[in-house]
Amino acid sequence: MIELDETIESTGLANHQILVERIAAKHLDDYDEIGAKFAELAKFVIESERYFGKRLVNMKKAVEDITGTIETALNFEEIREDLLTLWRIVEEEKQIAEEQNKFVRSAKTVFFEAWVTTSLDKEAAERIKEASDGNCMISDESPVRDEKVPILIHECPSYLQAFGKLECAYGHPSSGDIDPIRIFAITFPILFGIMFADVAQGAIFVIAGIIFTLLRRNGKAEKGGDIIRYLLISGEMLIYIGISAIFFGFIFGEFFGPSGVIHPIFLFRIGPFQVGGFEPTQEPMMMLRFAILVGAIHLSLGLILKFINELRHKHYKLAPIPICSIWLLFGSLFMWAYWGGISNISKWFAEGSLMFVGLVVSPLIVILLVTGLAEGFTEGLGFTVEVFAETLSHSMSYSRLMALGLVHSAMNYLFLVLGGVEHGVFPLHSIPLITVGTILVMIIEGLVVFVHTLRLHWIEWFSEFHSGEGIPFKPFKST
Amino acid sequence: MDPIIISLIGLALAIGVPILSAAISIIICGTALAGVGTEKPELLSRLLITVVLGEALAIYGLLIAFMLLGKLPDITTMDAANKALIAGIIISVAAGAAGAGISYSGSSLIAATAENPKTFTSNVIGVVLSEALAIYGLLIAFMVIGQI
Repeated sequence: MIELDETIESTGLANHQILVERIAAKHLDDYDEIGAKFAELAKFVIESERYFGKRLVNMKKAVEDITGTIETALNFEEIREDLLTLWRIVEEEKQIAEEQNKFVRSAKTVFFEAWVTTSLDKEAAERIKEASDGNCMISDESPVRDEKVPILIHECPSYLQAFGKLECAYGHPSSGDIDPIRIFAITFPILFGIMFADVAQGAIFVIAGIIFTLLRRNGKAEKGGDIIRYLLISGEMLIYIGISAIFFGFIFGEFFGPSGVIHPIFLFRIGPFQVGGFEPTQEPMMMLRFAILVGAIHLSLGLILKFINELRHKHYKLAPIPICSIWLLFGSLFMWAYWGGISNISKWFAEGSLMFVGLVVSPLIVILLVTGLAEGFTEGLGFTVEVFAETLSHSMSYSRLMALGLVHSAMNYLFLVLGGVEHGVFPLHSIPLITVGTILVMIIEGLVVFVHTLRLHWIEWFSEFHSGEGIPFKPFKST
Repeated sequence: MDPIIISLIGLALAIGVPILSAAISIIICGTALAGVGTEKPELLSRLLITVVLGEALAIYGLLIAFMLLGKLPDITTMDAANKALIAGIIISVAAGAAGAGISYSGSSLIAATAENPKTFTSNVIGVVLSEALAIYGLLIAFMVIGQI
């Protein structure tokens, strides 16, 4: 375009027409050339299509011939067994070759390291000697302190299988740590039950759990899609969480929501913390206090496990930290309860200042001293601030027990109101509506409550003592 | 202004904004999750936590809205109405913040876990801590409603 503009300027507008014609003629020549080339190309394409078409037909014939000969010459059913055996042998060879790739080798020597369980180390040494005709050197080394050792994963008993899967999804316990699965299998249903407290819906869970367990024991777990398999695996877990939901349903008086069929059962009272005997929707603050108490107990359980882990690892210098954390946790909880809630926090620093020093400041100072002496005071200061913040935020986080419990109750209440249920009387026409409501609540609420229970365990509880960094021990097995 | 109107605005905020933030976090995390699901379906059950925690924001809004709805007959003074409005604002801001946190850290968590599943345990903390923000807002909104 620029070239064109310049030419127009130089020759004047009168010559415009001639110029355009000249340029057009020049380009037309080009187009003719391209057109000729296209024609050539098209011819070539047609020819090659014919050529390859013929070859394709020939090849198809050849393939048909070969398959025909194989089918007539061999009876696959007869040689099936042989083929399978051969395949297994090849698989085994492949596995061995893959393992050998990890060896360090020179022209005449091979070097490898492997983990062996203590019970089998002599046998392993014997086998290696046997395989190498004694031309070998074996050194048996125990792991040094704090080395990451692979851990033996024991097969979970089938009644704990679902919990095992949930724990493994977070990570395996490190070597020497307690495997918390049994405690996990107790606390998980309890926290779930508090949020999903309902006698009737709990009973549905129990029934569903029994059906799923029976189906799985009859070997139906292999069939069906992913979701069906998950449900069948979680059969026993559904029974536990159902039982827990029934228990808390009685305590909070819920039967398809706060319908009035069951009245809350009072269990006991510790100071301002009351267990049972109130309806969560009527007295949410009572429920909040209960939730925080449950949280404190749950967290202290985790801290006790951490204490045991520290002892097992022989970290005696760090062992007082979890104990101080429990002191801090229950100390501040006591302060909170004694002075009448967070709104009276100013009293903590006035009348209650001595108590504040004893229950909140002292454990922090001890933690600072202990970590300071073990790892240096800069680290210690950071750690102490972390302990303080974590204790606060983790126990606050348990208030979701109250929030989700109330939401569960409120959602059920919505359907009770729509169905016209009053004072524990379910009219006939309300049954379809309650059924729909129950299905909805059990699916949506069930999923949300499940994930929150999991989250409370994974984040608040496991972070106290369960690193999840364990490497499972996978011994070499030829299949 | 009429106390009822003010408290209804609070109620609308309490249900509307948390639902919006839940929707945004589910949209962002859900699409990321769908992408990972095709490549590594075994990670789906673990990563589902992002979507469900996003959904929980809507439930917190629902709870506050329910409580405000229950309190509506008691709201006669301007003082009570203002408290209802403030409770609505608190939960909406908290849920909005938590929603933003879950959307960003959730989608990154999903991508990172698909790349290297070992990082899940440390990276999930971003998501659950963002979700905890909503709980703090919920607690305070709850206490404000308790004073009506």
